[in-house]
This record gives sequence, C-alpha cells and structure tokens, in this order.
Amino acid sequence: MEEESTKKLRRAAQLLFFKSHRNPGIKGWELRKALGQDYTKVLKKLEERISELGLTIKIVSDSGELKTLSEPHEVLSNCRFFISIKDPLTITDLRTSGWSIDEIAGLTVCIATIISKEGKTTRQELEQILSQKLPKWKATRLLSKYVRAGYLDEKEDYIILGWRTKSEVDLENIIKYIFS
Amino acid sequence: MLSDRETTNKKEIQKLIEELDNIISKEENILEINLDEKIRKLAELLSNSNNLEEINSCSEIIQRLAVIIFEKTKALKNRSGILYIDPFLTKLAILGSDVEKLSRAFIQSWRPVVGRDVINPFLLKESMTYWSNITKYSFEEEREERNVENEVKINFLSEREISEEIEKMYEELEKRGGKELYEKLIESENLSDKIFKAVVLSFMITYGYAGIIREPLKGKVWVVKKEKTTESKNPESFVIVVK
Repeated sequence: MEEESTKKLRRAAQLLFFKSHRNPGIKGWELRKALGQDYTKVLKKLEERISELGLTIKIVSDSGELKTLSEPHEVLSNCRFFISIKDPLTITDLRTSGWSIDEIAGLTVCIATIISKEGKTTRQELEQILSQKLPKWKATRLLSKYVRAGYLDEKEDYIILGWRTKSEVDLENIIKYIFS
Repeated sequence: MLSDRETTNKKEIQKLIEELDNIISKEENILEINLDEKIRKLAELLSNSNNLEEINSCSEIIQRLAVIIFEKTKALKNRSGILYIDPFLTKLAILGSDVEKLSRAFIQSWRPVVGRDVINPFLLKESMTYWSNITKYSFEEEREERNVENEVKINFLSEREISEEIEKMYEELEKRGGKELYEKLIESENLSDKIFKAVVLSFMITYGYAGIIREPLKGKVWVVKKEKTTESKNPESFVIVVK
C-alpha cells in the first residue's frame, strides 16, 4: 500500500516537473488519468514534500485564475498544474533566470500598461512606451521575445497578457510595487 | 481716480479669478491642469498690488487655488483607488520608475515555473507515431561516387600521378615486409605530404592492393600488402584521423 503511494508520488513529480508538451505543466484530467481518482490527495502529499525545497504546486485555469487542490474535479479538470518557486526571488537571482534587468523592466512596463488598458493594447503603444527608455530596435525585439516566451500574446491587432504572465506573475503585487 | 497701473492690475486679477472659477465649475481633467503658471501670475500681481482692495482680490485668488488643489487631491485619491484600470497613473508611475525599481516589482511578483526539458515516455510515444506516419523521402539525391576519375576531374590528381604514387607506395609496403602501421606508412615531414600519402593509400586499399587490420584495444591500425588481383569480398569503410 505504502509502496503504491510512493510510486504515485514519484509519478506525480515526473508529470509535473518534466515538460511533456510545448508549455510546462499538465492538465487536471491528465493527472487523474495517470494517478487515479485520488490524484488531489497525491498532489497534496507532493506539495508537502516540495514545500521544504521552496517549491509549490500552482493550478491555473484557462482564464488565468489561480485554483486550489480543494476545488472539485469538474473545476480542476481543465486547469493546468505545474510546479513553481514559492518565495519571491531577489535581484541577484536574475543572473540565473536567463533574463537581463533591462528585459525584466521592459516586461514590467508592458504588463502594467496592458493591465491599465483593461487587458489589451496595441504593439505600437507598447513600442512607444518602451522606446522612451530603450532604442526603438530593442523595444521591437523585446516585444517579440516576450511573445515568444509566452509572457505576452498577440491576438489580431492587440497584445494581451500571455499564459505565462497569468501563471507566474502576481498581478496585484506587481501593480502594488510599481506604485509603492 | 485709478492709475493705469492699478487699472491693469485690477483687470488681470479679475481675469485670473474668472479663469480659476471656470476650472472649478468644469471639474473635468482637473489632474491635468498646471497650477504653477497661475501661482507665478498671482505672485506677480500681488507684488504689484499697493492698495487693500487689490490685496483682498488676490486673497480670493488664493482661496480659489486652494479649492483646486483640494479637488486635485480628491481626484488623485479617487484614481488611486482604481489603480488597475487607470492608464494615466500607470504611465506616470512607469515613467517615474527606474529600471531597477521596475525589475524589483517584477521579481517580487514573479514565481517562475520549474520544469525540465527531457526525453520522456510521452515524447518517445509521440515521436514514434510521427516516425511511422511520415512518408518516404521522395527526393533521391544523386550521389557522385568518389573515385580516381572524379578526383582527376576536380584537378586534385592526374590519372598518371595517382597510378605512379600507388605503385610507389605498394613497393614501399613491400620493402617493409608487407605489413606496416598506418601512421608510419603515411609519415612525412609536412602535413600536406602526409595527407597526400593518406589519399593515395586510401585508393590503394580501395583497389584491393592493401588491406587494413585494426587492433582497437591497442589503438593500432596496420596496413597489409595484398596481391594486386585480390578483390575485397566484404567492402567496408572507416575513418582514420590523420594527425
């Protein structure tokens, strides 16, 4: 019985840690299929283990809402589950994140602008705002990089927040820090 | 009787009072109104005012300015309550922040996803399905065989030269007892000669005038002489690094 439980725990960790699709994470229904009906219990145990390492299981719906393991399966089924860092990072952690300070600042500007424009804005507007502090060519290049990385999404003539921003960034916090 | 200066001053005071009244009554875009200019004008008018009536009028201007500042504060507080949707304040905050502050805001709110790109059973299964479904590559590349004729074509060697060189090397191998280490056989003072000898030797082997014996454990490759009529029964190719 215990062996079975450990097996499921390992499988859950594999599913969540290892990227099997283009985007990280795995859907609730996939977890249920792989781990069984009590998959939320397995995930709770995993959460306890990884919590000691400063990690947490994050559940995000298609619309970007954060969910918890206590929600019913009907809600969790289409949500994306993945593991993320639990505590805030520091500026020195940037070195290992693969992003430069300019790129992070530019992304912050884009996110804040999109939020303030009720969720969507034009590429030209973002380029214009970024160009106030960066060369034009760099602003254009950065926007494309954010879209490629999934932090922003380009829909027809507009740029909106991408799945990665919704999943990884605490939007209330970012606004709070910008205005502090 | 009023002097010209007093008349002008009075008119200007009145004009400023009307402007301020106008701002107060409209109540729109109050945050965008620049009061600096009006305060400078008031200072100028006040310094030109000598009588009590003018000073009194200036105090009316001060009262109106205070009302506008109060309205501005109220509007600012109101907008602060709806920060999420206010592009004006967001733009101001962005423009007023340096790169480090903006990065810090992001870092404090960022919980990046932890994951690894690995080959896993899912990917293997997907790739197998893909592999079995793809159709055979239809474009057959015409491969040009590498032989003496082609080498001659590209002016690397003349036909006569290659035959002479093969003969020379065959005799050399014979002199060394019909068996020699590959590297010793192609040994030369300079690299281009060494490569040239390696090319000649490769043709010699291809023609079946010599064979190769490998000793993988010792890392040795021997070249052995064969009778010129001998043909290789199991032709194979392998790479030898010429240092």
